[in-house]
Amino acid sequence: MIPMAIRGIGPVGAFGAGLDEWRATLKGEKKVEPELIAIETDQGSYKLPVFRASTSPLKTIIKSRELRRLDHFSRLALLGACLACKNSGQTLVGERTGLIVASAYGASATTFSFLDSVIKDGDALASPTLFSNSVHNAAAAHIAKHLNISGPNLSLTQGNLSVPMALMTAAHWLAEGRVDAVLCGAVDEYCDVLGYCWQSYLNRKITTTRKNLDPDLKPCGPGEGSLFFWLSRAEGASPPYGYLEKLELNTPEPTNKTPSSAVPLIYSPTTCHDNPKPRFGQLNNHLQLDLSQLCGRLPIATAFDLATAATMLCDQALYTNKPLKHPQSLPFSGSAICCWQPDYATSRKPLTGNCYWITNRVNL
Amino acid sequence: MSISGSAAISQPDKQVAVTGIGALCATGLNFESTFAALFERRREPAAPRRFQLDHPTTYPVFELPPSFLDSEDENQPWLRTSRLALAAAREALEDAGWSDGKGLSQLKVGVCIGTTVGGSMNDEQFYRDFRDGENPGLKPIDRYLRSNPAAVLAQFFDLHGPQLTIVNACSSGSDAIGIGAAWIRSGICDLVLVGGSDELCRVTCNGFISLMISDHQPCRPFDRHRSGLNLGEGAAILVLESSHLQERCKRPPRAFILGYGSSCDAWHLTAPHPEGKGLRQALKLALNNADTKAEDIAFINAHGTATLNNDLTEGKIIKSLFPQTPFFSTKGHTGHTLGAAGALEAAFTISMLQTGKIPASAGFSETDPDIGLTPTNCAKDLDGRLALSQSLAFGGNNAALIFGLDGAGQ
Repeated sequence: MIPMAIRGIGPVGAFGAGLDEWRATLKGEKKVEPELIAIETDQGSYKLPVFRASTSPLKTIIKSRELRRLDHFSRLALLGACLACKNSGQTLVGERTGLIVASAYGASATTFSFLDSVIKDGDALASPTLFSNSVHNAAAAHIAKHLNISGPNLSLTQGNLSVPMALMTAAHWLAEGRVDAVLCGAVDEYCDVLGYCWQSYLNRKITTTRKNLDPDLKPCGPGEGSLFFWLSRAEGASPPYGYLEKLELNTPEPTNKTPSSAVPLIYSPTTCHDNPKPRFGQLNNHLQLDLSQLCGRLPIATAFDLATAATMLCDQALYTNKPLKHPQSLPFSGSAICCWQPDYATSRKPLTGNCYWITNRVNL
Repeated sequence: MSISGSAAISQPDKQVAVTGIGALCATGLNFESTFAALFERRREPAAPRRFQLDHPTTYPVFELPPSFLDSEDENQPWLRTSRLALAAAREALEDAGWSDGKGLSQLKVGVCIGTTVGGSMNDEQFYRDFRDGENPGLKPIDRYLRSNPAAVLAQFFDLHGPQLTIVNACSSGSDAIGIGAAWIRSGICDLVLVGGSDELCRVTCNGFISLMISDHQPCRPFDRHRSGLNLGEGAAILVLESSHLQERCKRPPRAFILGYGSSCDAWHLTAPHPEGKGLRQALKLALNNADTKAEDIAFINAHGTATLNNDLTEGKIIKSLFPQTPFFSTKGHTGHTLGAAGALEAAFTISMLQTGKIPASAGFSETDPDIGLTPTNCAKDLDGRLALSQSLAFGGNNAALIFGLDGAGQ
């Protein structure tokens, strides 16, 4: 894979919208409080902490009239995409720019709203607007239209692998010369069904593993949000957020190819099943950052990990909440940060995962 | 991109060979019968059998014969879309000489599949129970979570390369082929299973009817009196191999992927750009990628959904860029299989190149003066070496693939 320059970042989550808000959250200057949502399951009532995101800043970017038919999922994606563009300061050339939108679950709230229209009013009165927005690539279509991106346009869904597959595709497009830049991002939203499933899975997990529960395990909640990167080939002026130099899929341990043993590691659990502590002993030697208390657990969490690594390299500071109890800032003069995404979904032995290297110069 | 645990070493490779095809849809349960049906002018869309719709009018669909995959009980491990993909993949691997995928786990093998329904959690009964406060069990959710089409194929055949499910609506199958080919060219894969799969379901049927683009008669692509599409279901999988693997296996390929172009209209959520701006761009890119000219294309397997807008836009562009090239739509035989359509049509395109025959455009009878171009109205022999298959999609996506009987530089 060719290294990609990270020229812009647009995060949206429970912490707010934009890199400044995310940075303030990482530094511990801004608190994120999840919303407690009542969930009824067959094992009782629960209050589930949910990290919901607001898209109200979008109204300062795009006229409300143009947003009236966009659902929450598309608004999340559009806001992240617009912020990444603005943050990059780059001039967008429609035909030479690609767009990639990754999502594990797609516009699930809108899909269920469409079913509501069918169940409530009958097949003949199904809502065409809800159906249109429930289609997986609706968000990408809205972004392309609003930002006039007419290059290759891809929507993909691959569970927890959605983010690495989006990045891999972006690298291919750039390497092939199909485009000069890629607006590459990921989005997932919360909905009532997800909350119900989350709590039910959590109940199942607690029932089956109660004896072995990690004493440090905090109540975890789902999150929603989007995060877009403005990526280009590693040419020209140095990018403000460094390079995504290497992406290794199905690799046993990130430490195998570590340029320096002091490289910080970012790892965020993505589902209620994930162990907040990676299972590899060696990883405990690295400084770790678990972002799930800042934006919730979501299948596209890797995008937030990468953005955090890029921001820390840019700021030459480490923002960490593990092993420290609260987010703090530490000085950092390194040139590489590793993000690690264990693959708990498959039963491969040894356990594999995906490893991402963010560096501040190419070919470290 | 490094992928550990693989024995073979791939090198960047310009040549992408198609060595195997598997497909099934309403006209047949394997590729041979599906392809043959295109020339028999047989088409029998009917009201869906697996589920009921409550509309004043019946909207016919192209559903798989009941003899296949009819055990629709809730104990099935995967959604129907993934099981369709699996059936097509087994046939494609057999065709390519990799029966049951034996030997593939030692190679760098990727999976890239397009779908629409296969990527959505839309179990209606689960949702009805949830709405009614009945605390439904998670079986349908478990099944949805393990049914990602690319992941199912990778798991079933024990493949360790990249896996990607593309959800670009109706161009998903074509885009999956183009992107999978890039994995071979870049050297990250020796072999890639590419294609598309989609099942018929109530949600999409109701959705397309709500958009008022479904015909209550058998669809009529490019016809003056066309009035919408018929949905269909099916899957098509191609086996793509690098030239290194080709040398090792010494099997003659069916064809080569020479060009791929994709674009977005950036215009409207549900309607194509009236002047076909994005399609023109995708075609230009595909021709450039294949290093060829429009005049060298022997025929075009068009998207041809039979909706007013799609066929008008597509027809205008064909007339402008390929005024003398025979074109047709196969959706009159298969219905619109959404995420599978591009892959199914790519498979047909390859086989037509191999056999030197193209079919009549099913459902067509009268030229639309607004298009001013007539698709094939009878089967024809041809001797071309290059062909084009193109897809237009919801959201303004466009994808074009160029296949050839000879590899690059031959």
